[in-house]
Amino acid sequence: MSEAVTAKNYLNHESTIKSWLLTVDHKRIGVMYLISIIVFFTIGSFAAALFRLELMTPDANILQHETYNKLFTMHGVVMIFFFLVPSVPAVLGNFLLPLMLGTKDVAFPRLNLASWYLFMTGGMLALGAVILGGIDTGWTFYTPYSSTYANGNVIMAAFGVFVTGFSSILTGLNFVVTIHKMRAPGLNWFKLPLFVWAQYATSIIMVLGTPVIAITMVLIILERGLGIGIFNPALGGDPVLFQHLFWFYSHPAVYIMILPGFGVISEVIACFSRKRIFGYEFIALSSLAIAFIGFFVWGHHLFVSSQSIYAGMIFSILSFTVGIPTAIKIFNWVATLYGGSIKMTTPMIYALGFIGLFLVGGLTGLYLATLAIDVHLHDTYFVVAHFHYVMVGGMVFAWLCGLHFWWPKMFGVMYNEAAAKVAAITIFIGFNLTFFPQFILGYMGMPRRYHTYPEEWQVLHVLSTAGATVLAFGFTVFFITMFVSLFGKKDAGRNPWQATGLEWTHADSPPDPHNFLEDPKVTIRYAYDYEDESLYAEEGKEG
Amino acid sequence: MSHENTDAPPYQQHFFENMQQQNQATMFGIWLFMAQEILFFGGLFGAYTWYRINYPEAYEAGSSWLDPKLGLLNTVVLIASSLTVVFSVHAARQGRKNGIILWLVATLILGGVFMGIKTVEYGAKYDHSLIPGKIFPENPFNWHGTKEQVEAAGHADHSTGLKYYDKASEGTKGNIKPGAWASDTYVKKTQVAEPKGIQIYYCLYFAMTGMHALHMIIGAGIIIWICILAHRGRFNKEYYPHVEYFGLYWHFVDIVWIFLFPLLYLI
Amino acid sequence: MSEHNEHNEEHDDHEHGVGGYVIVFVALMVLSIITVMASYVDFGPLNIVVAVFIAVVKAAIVLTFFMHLKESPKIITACAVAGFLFVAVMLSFLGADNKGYEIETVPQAWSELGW
Repeated sequence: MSEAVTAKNYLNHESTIKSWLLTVDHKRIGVMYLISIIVFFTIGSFAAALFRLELMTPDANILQHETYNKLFTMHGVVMIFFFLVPSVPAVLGNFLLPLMLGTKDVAFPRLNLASWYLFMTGGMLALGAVILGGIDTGWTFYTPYSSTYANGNVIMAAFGVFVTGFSSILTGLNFVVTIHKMRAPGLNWFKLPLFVWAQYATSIIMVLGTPVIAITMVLIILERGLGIGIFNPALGGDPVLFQHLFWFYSHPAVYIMILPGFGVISEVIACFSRKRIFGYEFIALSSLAIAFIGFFVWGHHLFVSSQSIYAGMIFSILSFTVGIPTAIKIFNWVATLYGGSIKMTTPMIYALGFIGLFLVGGLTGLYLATLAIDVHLHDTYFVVAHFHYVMVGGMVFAWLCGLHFWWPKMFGVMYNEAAAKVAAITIFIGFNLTFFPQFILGYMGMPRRYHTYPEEWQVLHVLSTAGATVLAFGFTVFFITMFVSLFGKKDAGRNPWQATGLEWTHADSPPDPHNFLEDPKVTIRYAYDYEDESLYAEEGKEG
Repeated sequence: MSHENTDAPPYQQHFFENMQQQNQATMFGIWLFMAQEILFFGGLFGAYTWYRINYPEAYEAGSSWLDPKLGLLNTVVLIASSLTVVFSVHAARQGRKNGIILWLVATLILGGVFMGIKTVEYGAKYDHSLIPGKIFPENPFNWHGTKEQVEAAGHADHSTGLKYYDKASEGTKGNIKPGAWASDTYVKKTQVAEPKGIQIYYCLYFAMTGMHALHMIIGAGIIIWICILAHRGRFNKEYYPHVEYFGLYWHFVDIVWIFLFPLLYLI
Repeated sequence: MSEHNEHNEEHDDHEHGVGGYVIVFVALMVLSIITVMASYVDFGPLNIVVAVFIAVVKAAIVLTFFMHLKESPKIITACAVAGFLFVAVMLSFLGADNKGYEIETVPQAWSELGW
């Protein structure tokens, strides 16, 4: 409808730079985060491309040792802190949470904007550290190397992580208060979309876990700058303390990275099975269970760091336990698919890919949680493959899934479905080709972060690099598809997927600056009520 | 349009339905911030715990150079400042603008006293060459200096800063008698041996009290800001969030000290 | 506005008079003195337990009365408890598991390291 093109929405109602940079509209902030994390993703990917290129040959050909170390450090720091942690919460969470809750904005919109500025400041500091010569400590900043011997700009990078940490804390704080206090009338906890439950669990981890890495970065900065020896054995300090403090946050951080993805998958699977999600309460509460148990498993990163056997056993058992709520989710998603009317749209392809790839990643995590096996596999490519399966095969797929699903809502346009599907399949193939050989490499003993390796492993590395090339191609197709779609006709319609949820049934695409023209009142029986077509069907649109 | 609530007070944000929701939401947000601050300091207490298990002698020796009298004075001052903050919130609740400013200034003064005492203590550490790291290259960390050596090197005598133990029965904590602190008949227990990890104790001392002091300085800045707002008549009987939330922040800083004092000075 | 009156009433009902706060202050002073006196007595390994226990009591008093936790909604108490709970978990593990090895290196003075 041509009216849709000229209707006032959050994108076109004010178009000065100032109205964007000083916006307090959660939707605009979500879009700003989207642009920022895509830039960081590109930077992190270039780093990976370079060192994957180097790893095609067993000897050091293209890069010097120190440069290689700096590249994988940059890849880790940028991808984790500046891409994965904000990917779904800051982009989709910011955009969708008030819409899903039926309210006008988050609880603290100015704080939301401050979070974005903190994020950008931290990012600039980290990139500044890279430009000024880089850091070669690995993203884990292990001491005493990082605090004493490393060449480079550890202080600046650590400070960047510190600042971004507060961005994360404030976003989490915002979301928790918004979810508790700003639901529309009639929207009680067990009618919330599972995306909201997932954001809630994520936000709790953000608020409680991130300050610990903040203080750890402060201690690193003090040690490096002022020469105090808190982690330096030569002055009586203990490097293992650093590892404990670092992983106390960084393990829950991986749940920060994955839980929002679980939320996205729940939404998409329900929508494209045209079925109510199976076991809603279990999926909702399992998010909280993962958040809670996830705080007690950090020691599995220290199995071979002189932690006692007894602590190792406890952490091992708890790490197995945290797999249980996760498995419950997977079973419930599969049960939702069963008997559903499946529509193979692009988001659905990513969601199905997620289930398979996350399963591989999660199960290999259990191998690593087993004390005896971890002794053999610690710090090998097996670990690298494991976390890439969960973080890329899991989280990035979920992020792509969510972007494709909510793209028409955010921008009012539909992307080219065929091109998007080609991108999805290419990314899936490229991803597996890149990382599956790494499981084998790790099992055979190739250590991670190594620049050179014995010749007999070259075949696997070449396969991995070939996969990375395919992956890069897939992502390029994805970017072009989405970018081109922005110039299309803005006629996606309010609910192109015929999905349930207030953001689909009551808000325009793109939404009005104040989200809803009338405050929604929630009268649904339960969430994902796909049987009652009157709730979501749009007149004149095909089901 | 329902989001134009013309009878809402001017300080109600447009995305809240009413002031009650705004107040509850903001209070909840502030407390979440307090929770994360607990975790922030928790990391430091974690480091403290770790090294206490590893270096118990260092902790006992190191704390012997901290004056519990000054520590107790600081505790009294800080708790009193918590009281003045509570009075300030009380005044705000009754709409007394001058009461707010008066009690906040009192808090600021007490905070200043705290920082003054801290400065004296830090100065004493400098004089006894107990500052670790490379901050003062001309006065590096040196545990071995006895009181005489310290004096001979030209530093002032800060004997009130030392904790003395009974000469005859060295090593037993139970022999400290009240008033022993500034007496000449007792000697410092660990005068000669270098306890393992003594530098770490002082690293933690400075990191923990320093982080605490930083939070107090930030608090002082906030006090000044709130006083300016109060002076301009921003607050009334129903609306004084800044005062209330600052109160929470200040009490939190007080709680951190409540834990720091015994852990660093007394045991 | 009825909401404003409600908000005010909430406070009036539970308001401690000024005297109430002074009593809390005196209690905190007493506890501070007790903790100093307790430091003179040697409880052996329980020294730290006694000190932390008294500190926890003082902190609880500040939280309940000065910070009005008593008259706040339960979710706020959950926030405060969650914070302390997770710190307790972290400290428990850090305290329990570091006698697996001995820190062998002899600490040196910074100046001797030549950096």
